[in-house]
Amino acid sequence: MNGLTETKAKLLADPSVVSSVSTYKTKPAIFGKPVVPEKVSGNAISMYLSVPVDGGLEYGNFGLTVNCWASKYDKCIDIQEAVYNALNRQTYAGNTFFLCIKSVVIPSTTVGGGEYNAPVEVLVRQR
Amino acid sequence: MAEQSKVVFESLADFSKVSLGSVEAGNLKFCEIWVTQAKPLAPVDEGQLANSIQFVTGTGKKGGLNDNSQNGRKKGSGNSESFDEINIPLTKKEAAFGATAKHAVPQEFGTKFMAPQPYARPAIAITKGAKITEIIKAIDREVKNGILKGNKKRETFGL
Repeated sequence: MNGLTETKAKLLADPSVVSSVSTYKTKPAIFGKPVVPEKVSGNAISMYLSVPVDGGLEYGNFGLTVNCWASKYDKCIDIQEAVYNALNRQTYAGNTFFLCIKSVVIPSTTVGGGEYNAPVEVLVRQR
Repeated sequence: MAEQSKVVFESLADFSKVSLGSVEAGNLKFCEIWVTQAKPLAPVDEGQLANSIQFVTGTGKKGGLNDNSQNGRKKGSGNSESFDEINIPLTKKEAAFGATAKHAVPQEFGTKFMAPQPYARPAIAITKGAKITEIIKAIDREVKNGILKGNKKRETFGL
């Protein structure tokens, strides 16, 4: 219960997100962890907790970053848009609510590996 | 009972200055706290990333940067590398903070096959959360000081 499971499930249930990424072992390349397996060469999505969790609140409040990886700038934007539309102001299982911010695209030359990254900052609120 | 001094304000303080001063104080306090939170969170190999974490305010106040070039070392030589200062145009009500090491972005957001080690965003969350009262106090103090700078005249002198 840290928002990652719910976010991944929500993304896997969205057809436009699933169609925008490549497949890995017959499943969409959407990973609920910070790194993508090295065998994945195409478009992929990874995610991680990027903000400390405040246990003093009466509700769950998690800050996640969803990284959208693609070798081309335009494709990277497309994945980011699909992720944003799938999550922003959406609910999951009746107790989870998502809010999103689209970050600027990080160029391939900056992060290395020849891949563009378009992060989406996700705020997950959970009762 | 001792006679007390009586001070009368003949005109109000310049509120545009009070406003600007409080914003500057808030910005400076936010940046100072952010830097002190971000540096310990930054992953350390040779310490380049932590050394390059810094801030600059619109009024020219700077802090955080550990620049070894001051010690007579050459730029770009291992852990004695010196780093660029943040150099972006700012208005007096703005401030900028961040890291200028080359690997600052990959460490914050990760790469496709390397896990991220965020330091900037957690530090922002801590500064906005647990440390917000310190920022509010700094702004409050500056507002009070600014208001007291109005033209005042002492009418009665205490003993």
